[in-house]
Amino acid sequence: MSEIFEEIKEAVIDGDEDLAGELAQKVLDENINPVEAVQQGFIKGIEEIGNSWKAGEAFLPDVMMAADAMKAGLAVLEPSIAELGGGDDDTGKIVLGTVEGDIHDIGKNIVGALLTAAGFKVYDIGIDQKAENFLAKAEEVGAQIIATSALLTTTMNAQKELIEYLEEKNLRSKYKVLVGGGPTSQTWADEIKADGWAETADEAVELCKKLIS
Amino acid sequence: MRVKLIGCASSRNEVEWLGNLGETDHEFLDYSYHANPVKLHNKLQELINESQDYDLIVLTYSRCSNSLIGLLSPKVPMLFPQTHDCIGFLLGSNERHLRFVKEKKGTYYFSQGWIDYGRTPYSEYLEYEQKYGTKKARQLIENLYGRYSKAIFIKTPGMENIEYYRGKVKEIADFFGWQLEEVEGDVGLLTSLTQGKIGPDMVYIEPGRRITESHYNP
Ligand code: B12
Repeated sequence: MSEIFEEIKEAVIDGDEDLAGELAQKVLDENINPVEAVQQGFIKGIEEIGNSWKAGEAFLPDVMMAADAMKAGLAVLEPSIAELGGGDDDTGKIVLGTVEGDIHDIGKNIVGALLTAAGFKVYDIGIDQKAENFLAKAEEVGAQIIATSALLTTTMNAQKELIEYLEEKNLRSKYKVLVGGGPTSQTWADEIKADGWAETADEAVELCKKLIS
Repeated sequence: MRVKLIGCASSRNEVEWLGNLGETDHEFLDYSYHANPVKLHNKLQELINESQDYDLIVLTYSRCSNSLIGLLSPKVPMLFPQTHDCIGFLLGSNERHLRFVKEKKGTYYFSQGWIDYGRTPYSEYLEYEQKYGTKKARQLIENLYGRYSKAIFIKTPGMENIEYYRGKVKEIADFFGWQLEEVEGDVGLLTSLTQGKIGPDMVYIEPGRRITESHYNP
């Protein structure tokens, strides 16, 4: 069984979308635990490529293709992971997006994929999103967490504006607000009174688990 | 006064065109540092350490994803722009830059330096096509640049062959189906900096003090 996990990991590292999808299907066909396939295969692959990128050994296209491969596999596995999770109610709902004026989304997509893999229901509202849109989606779906990504120092202030907007609407305590993205930091999160910050996607997953439990 | 200027390729042409006080040594770093803030930080610290026999160190790097935060020059003061990135730097002020951010959504900016020393989205496409084939290359480029709708060319004084650069930006805009706009750059900030003059949107830092986040939020 660990062989297929190894194959999945390699498919992700190679950015092979088709193979990643096929292997995910094989996991289902052979009644292998999809959560384990995600944790020991897909996530291992994206982590490895993420580390190489940080170390300057991999290039951005490698990261992007790995993320696409992971996404393709997760799409196949998601329904059965949700089933195993035991209905919608006890899994957390997270609204995720990139703030207004910002179009960077590679990191956000990886965060979204890992959260999905961890059993959260992720509502990705995309890039260049106003505070209103984050809140509207969160209200609509009954989310517990709002998570925003900002990659530019010119746009990170929008993370603060979202929190102010929630305060204005008297809804601040209803949601946990997470922030992330290149120029952000724990100091920044503290300064704007966010509920959490994470440097990487896997830390973001841990953080969400902690915030929701 | 002996000045060491450590510069980014994105504004290299403007710096060279402006000239300097005569006693400035220039060192321009490779454009690829753009993609790696940690590497840029380390390289800058290394060069600052090597430049401790000057009277002033000028950096033409902006905040650039907080790459400058934590840098320390033990014996020589440093002067650098308080702008967010090369775009704000070439637009001349934070005020103007932030106005652009608000008003012009989905915009990708080009300066002469980006075209001369950087990799344009179009050349990036050609590179990926070679490496990964047409299908993957298209997908990558779509994920990278698919959500833009406009290219803005920042024209700065001293450009010799404007038509060449206009043509380059047009080629890219046409390839992606973007609108095209041209704006005047403002090298006021750059001019003061290269002359070692302290002004608005600039940080002067005494020797022995580390650059911190607060230098960018006065
Ligand atoms: C790729 C990239 C682009 C691509 C974006 C494609 C896309 N679809 O996303 C393109 C080429 C289009 C682009 C455009 C621009 N970019 Co750019 N870009 C980058 C680059 C090289 C990498 C970013 C990236 O994807 N990293 C990989 C991912 C995996 O990492 P990540 O995003 O940090 O995400 C991780 C964590 O931060 C975290 N995370 C992310 N989001 C969240 C959210 C939450 C809630 C949590 C908890 C965690 C979390 O988890 C992720 C996984 O571990 C960076 C430099 C860098 N190394 O950061 C510059 C950079 C961000 N860009 C920069 C600039 C200047 C621009 C432009 C303005 C350039 C221009 N000429 O117009 C435009 C901006 C347009 C706009 N309005 O947004 C500057 C920003 C400077 C500044 N002002 O802050 C940078 C820092 C480069 C530099 N040194 O100058 N860019």
